[in-house]
Amino acid sequence: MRDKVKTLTAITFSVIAATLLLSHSELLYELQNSSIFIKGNTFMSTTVTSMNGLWTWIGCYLTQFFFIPWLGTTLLIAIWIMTFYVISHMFRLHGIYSAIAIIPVAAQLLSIYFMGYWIYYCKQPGFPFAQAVSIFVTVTFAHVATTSVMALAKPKQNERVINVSAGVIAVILAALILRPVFKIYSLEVPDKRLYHEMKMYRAIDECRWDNVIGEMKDVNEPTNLMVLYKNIALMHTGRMTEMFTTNNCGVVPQTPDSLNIHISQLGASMIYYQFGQINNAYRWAIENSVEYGMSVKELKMLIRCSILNQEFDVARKYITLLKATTFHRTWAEQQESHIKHSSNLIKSQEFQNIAPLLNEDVNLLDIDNGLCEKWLLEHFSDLVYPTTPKLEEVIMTLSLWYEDDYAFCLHFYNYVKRHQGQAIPHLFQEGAILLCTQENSPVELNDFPFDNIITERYNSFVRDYNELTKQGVSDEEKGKRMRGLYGDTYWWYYYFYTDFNIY
Amino acid sequence: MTRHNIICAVATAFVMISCGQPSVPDSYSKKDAEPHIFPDYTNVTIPSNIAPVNFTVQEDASEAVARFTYPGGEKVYGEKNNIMIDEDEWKDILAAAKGKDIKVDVFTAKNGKWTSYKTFTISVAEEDIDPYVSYRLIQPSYVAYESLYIEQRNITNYENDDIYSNMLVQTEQDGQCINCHSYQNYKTDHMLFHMRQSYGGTMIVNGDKIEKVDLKTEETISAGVYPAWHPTLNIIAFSTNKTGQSFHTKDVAKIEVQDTESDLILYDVDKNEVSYIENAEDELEIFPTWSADGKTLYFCSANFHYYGTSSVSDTTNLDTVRVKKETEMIQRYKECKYDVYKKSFNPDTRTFGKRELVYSATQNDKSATLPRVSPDGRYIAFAEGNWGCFHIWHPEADIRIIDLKTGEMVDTKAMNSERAESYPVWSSNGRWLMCESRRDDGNYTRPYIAYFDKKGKVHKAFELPQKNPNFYTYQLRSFNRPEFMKEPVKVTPHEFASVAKTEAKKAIFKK
Repeated sequence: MRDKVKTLTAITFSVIAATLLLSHSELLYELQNSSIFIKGNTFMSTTVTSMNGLWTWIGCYLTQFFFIPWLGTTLLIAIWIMTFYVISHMFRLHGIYSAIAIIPVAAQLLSIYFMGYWIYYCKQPGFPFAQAVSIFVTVTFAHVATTSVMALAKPKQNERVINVSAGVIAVILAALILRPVFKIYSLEVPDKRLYHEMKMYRAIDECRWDNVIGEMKDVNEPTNLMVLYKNIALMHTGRMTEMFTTNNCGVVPQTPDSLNIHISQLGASMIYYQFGQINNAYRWAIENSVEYGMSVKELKMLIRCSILNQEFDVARKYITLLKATTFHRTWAEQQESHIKHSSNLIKSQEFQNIAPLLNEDVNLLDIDNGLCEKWLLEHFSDLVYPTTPKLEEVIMTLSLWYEDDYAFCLHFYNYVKRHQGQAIPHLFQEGAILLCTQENSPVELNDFPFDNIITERYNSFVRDYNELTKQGVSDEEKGKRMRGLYGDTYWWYYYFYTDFNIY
Repeated sequence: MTRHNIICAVATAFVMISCGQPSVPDSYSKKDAEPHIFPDYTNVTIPSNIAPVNFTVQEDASEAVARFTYPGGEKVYGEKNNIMIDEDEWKDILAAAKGKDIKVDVFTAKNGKWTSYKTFTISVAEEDIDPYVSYRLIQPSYVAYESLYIEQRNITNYENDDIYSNMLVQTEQDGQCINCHSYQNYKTDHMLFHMRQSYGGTMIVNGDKIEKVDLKTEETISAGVYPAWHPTLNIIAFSTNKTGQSFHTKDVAKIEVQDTESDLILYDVDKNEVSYIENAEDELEIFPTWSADGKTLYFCSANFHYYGTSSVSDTTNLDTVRVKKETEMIQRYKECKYDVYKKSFNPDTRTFGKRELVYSATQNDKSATLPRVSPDGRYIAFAEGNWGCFHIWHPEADIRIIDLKTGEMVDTKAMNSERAESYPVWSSNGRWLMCESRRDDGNYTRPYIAYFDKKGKVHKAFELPQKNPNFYTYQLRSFNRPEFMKEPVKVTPHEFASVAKTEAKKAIFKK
């Protein structure tokens, strides 16, 4: 009966842990993506000689198994259950008391579950397993040591004393483990949009554009990062002009007060890369790998950038490293084939997506000051000579996104001249009817034949806006009331999306 | 025979088979080309006290062996594709081949078929090399840094250890950058390195004394930056710099580092005094270095006049003026080119003469940096690129040497590559030149050493040998500022760390 409670506790905890972890497989994927284990002596010696190096090395080895979520989860829970049994055995906890021994391992589960955006700022690669293994080994060592000492002492100790001390130690252990949880993560339930961002990043990594756009469907208030990811998917599927019909109003995600998040750490490398800004992508992959440790994610980016920059020697070096991992060897070999046979690179979907954006031949000395989104919007708005239709579309839409009236009007003027006799996308007409007909517009568009449907809708928008203004309705309320009718227009974005905070 | 003896015999035979010496195949086809090996030790000249030059054979093969034929013997090595040389045997090989050649024949096997390649030579010079090299290990990052190490390596074997690691005092909130280690005359009882940000200051070892000094004074631009310890006196020449960096959006060079202001100062270690050496208007002076006799100070200087063309309009305070200068420098960075100058120095009066031009790189539309004079005073080596002062990010940058006696340029093709070379240093006997080079992959700097013979000829450079021939492939840090040393640094990292935590002594400016 007494052991049944222990078994029941272990089973119940295992089920809860497995449910919590496996229901967020994107978190597990991100954990292994933010870590790396490279077979060989160099990785081992450089890791082991650093602070907590042995645990980090073991942690990195085991964390890679999160690539297969059930396998990584099983391993982690197995270590936790062993820790639970060692603690309960160490303190001779039986029956209901044995539940105390679950506290330290439950604390570890919570520290992963409540990690939130700290996943991008954690400086210990392989953190979940490094923590689990170090605690298991420490507890086991302590158990063996105390057993040996007690064998030499009085044969029978007061069991109650042991139970009480077990409780105290379990609480101390839990407090130690939870200390960072309380101090850093503040035990706040992470912003759910983080998981959408993780899924979108992976989908972009694998060129699954429909999945990227699909992640936006159930989210009313996407984060800036989600909007950026969504627009990348639109860009590569030729639907960039749908930017404002697919919710372009990003917000800053909720994070604990102790954490300042920046897109530079969350996904800037991938964003820059997809926009063809290879040097910036490479820079952030390097910066983040220096500050938070080399990871699969950054190494893959370094390979991609080196190949597109035609820096094949360093690409080979990075490929050699990635080939020495367990689960990313195949991807590395694909990239190797891109170096060996340029036709493979040219045929690859990723290259075809990005190549039209590489034609921008201006080299600038610049720095983004850690604000990837701002830099991209300014950079593309300022570009004068689009060399490909895709680049032209990006320049036009980003100048609208950035509400750079002057740049958009000039681009629109040139666009119309270049596309004589062709249909002009609705979005560009929406932008032009709003911006290029104003007094301070740098171009004259009085005779431009806007589509009737757009002219009528714009007039209706102005009428409704003026009517609500007459009624003394606040701008915020106007935005809410007009969103149903005009939320898919650029005008609505221009007038009512005032919460554009860049992070 | 007892059962025990049989077991021993079988075990011994097993061990002998499994640990058997590799041998050269009996039959093979011949390839009329030298093998591709990494690091490239084909036809190089090495010192007779260097660690074994282990290498990996980069041919399409599953196995490789190499036969080293030297005066009086031959040895064969091979472990899969790696050629791993026994350290004790290597010493014997070098001793026998001193002043002569080692012939190396490489054989590779694929699907059981062996191929031999053209023999290459490793020449062993008569002259030894300084036994120690120190360098900073740093990831080739842009702004971020985390763990940095200044390491020393015994290059006669593979032993290395930390001189200092910033992780000893760095905390999550307060980072510490370390850089610019420098020694007096190849010895380590007088040495220095800088620490920046948290616990900042210049760590100066002055005999038995270790001090942390703040070299920034009201009168000078910054604390000391690029240092040069006088070969005999307790004085150090530094540049003081306002340095900025910006990034190329397209260029493979990626980073541009520019000084908007710079001067030269002299620091008297015993008096704790700083004074100007050079602070001319419109001149950016940098990279001081002493001649071996201590009677001449060489340095670089760029003539750069700010026209005030940047769009920053407020010039009412100093900070804005600096921003204005930075912006203009970014706009005109390709115009900033450095020449090599010298100043005579009187060690008795400690006074400098006027500046004299040594080499005009600008005449050739180039920029010369990081000069170092050979110990015999006859040659000056420096890095030359198209512009600026930070050539390690410029792929076109090469090492150049001028014969100061004839004024002629020495042919340095053998130690340069298509990629960036920078930071040349001479060994204490002047027979070896070391530089940092990005030739391996374009991104990570590695130490390369070239023999400079008595006739002034530069021989093919070789990469500093490592025990694991694939070390440089897996190493994700750059080797920065490689310096020769006659002896190891004796101060321990923890001794440095405990001084690092103390308040820095403020240097005094002397007019």
